[in-house]
Amino acid sequence: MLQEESDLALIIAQIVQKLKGSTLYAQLERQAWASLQRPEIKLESLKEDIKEFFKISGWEKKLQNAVYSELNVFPLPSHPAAPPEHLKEPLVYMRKAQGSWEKRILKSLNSMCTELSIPLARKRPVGEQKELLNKWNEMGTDEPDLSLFRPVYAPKDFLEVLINLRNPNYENGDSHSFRTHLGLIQVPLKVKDIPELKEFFVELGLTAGQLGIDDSTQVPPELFENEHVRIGQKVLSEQDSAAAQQYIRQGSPTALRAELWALILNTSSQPEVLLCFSRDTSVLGHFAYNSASPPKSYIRGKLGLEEYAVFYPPNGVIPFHGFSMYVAPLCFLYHEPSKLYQIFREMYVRFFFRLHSISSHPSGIVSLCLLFETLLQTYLPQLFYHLREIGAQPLRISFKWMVRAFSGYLATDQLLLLWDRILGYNSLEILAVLAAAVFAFRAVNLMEVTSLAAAEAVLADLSTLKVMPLLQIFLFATVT
Amino acid sequence: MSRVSVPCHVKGTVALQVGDVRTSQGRPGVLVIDVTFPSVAPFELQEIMFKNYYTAFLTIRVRQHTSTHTPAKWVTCLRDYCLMPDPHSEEGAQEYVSLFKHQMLCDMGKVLELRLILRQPSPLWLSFTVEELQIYQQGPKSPSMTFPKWLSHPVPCEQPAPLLEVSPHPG
Repeated sequence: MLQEESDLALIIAQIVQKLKGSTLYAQLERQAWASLQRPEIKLESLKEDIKEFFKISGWEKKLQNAVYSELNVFPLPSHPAAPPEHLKEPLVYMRKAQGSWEKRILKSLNSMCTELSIPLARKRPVGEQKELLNKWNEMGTDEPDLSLFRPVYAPKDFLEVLINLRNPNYENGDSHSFRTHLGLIQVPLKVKDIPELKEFFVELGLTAGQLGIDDSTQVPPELFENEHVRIGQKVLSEQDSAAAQQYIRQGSPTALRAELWALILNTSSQPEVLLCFSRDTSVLGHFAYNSASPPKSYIRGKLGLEEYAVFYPPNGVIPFHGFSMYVAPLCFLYHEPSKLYQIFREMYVRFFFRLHSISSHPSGIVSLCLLFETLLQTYLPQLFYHLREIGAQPLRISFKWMVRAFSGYLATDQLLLLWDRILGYNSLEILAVLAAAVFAFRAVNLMEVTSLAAAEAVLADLSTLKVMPLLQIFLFATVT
Repeated sequence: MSRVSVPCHVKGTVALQVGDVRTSQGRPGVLVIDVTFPSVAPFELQEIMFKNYYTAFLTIRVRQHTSTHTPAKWVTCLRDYCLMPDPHSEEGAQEYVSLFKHQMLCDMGKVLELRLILRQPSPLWLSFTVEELQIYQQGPKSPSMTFPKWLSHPVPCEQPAPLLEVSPHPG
């Protein structure tokens, strides 16, 4: 019991520390000072009266939402002796692999710049500055000539790195025994099996209503949809982050989605200066719990001197081919650039960064790949074996879906229903489950193909798929 | 609560195996590490801290100083403490762990020697151990802090009293 109490005290201390630096703290302080003018605040009972005032005015709710947000994002407090790199990633060999991968990307970026004689960062010449100011509002329509630039890397390259990940302390025998994994991923991370997934995703079960299933035209809206919308409106009026996250597990009505996502991600209502993502240095904060590290560059001639080191790009994130697919679906929800940007940035530092860095986190891409392969092997062993035999390892096809969180592969309304659940369960595991469910759905066709190309063709078009029925059938209605 | 590190001598790991070590095919699943305290009098153990490396279960035995002249006996103070929930997978494999006096099965008042028995039943790992082992005894008590009453119940006056920030300290 003592251990739990001290753990709780440590968590509280860490959250208080984190929130002290936020705008909310300054706002609460201001509000507290201003409230002293109010007649109901008495000096004898100052603490209780101010607390009551915060409750009535809604500021307590804002604080609750901020604390809930921190709990979702920040990893559990680690052992006091654990160094910061342990917090980013506890397994040493994964840290090393991420480090090597980063070096490779940087080398590629630097050599491309040398080839094209373009410096990574330089101050814009005066003439260009003037031109930019004139065209500020039409930035989106004016594109520089990008034809000479290659993408820094493609998801395929990243997959090769993941396939070659090895734990030096693991029995990686050449001969096939019970020790070798039949899939492409060869690291023994813990992944959930179907009984555990059923428990985790309990709200997606057959007895609960779902948007994406129970709002189809054949189902009378009185059965589920109307009540669900009403509850959604109530959640929004209460401005309760935790309730919104629970609610959205059953899907969000289209009209309420933009507000619900903003509430769950706890974005501020203040209009922020629109910052281009790559220049937003506040993104650097997420590297505390990301196994990746921001690439450092040195001012010319000062290599190795820390005072002359800069992070490049300023936000520390090197995008890859297809990176913009994380943003595209959000454009359907948010029309105001600053809101759109805030939501994207929050989604990135909470979820999407895990899709392109090497870590042992349950929502990291390595775990997702292993979860996908394990689900397929366990519940569709014939299909898995057949695809392996014809040289079509299933992960080679599904990797690109997962790494982009299915953006660009599903119809937009279906994608948004999927991303509702990512927010609701605060986990990316649903991507692996959906990938396995898609294979299960097309299993009959896949059993008849005889090459990787043919398998790719069967799975090329996902635009007609309905995600919620697929997930429900795979998790809850398949005989295991 | 402050704590003081106790200098200890960690003897080499001994593998427990049935049969001839040279000819047997499998890897040992049980290792024993003896920890002695050569230059320290029998002390009260406060905390054991280490970094795990693929050990699944930990048992600790302790030999304590007795006031009578009977030879000190080995007593189990921690039995099969689970470090890895699934011995075949990575969870918990490289974590930092602290074990406290209150988690022990017996009183740890006069510790002479410790024996750590490490178990890893899974054949998937090439080796396992615990690293960076540190033993702590209780340090001098920190000066007690009493807060003046006026901090929580401000008396009516012209200006509101400043609210002192007290952050909870971990046990």
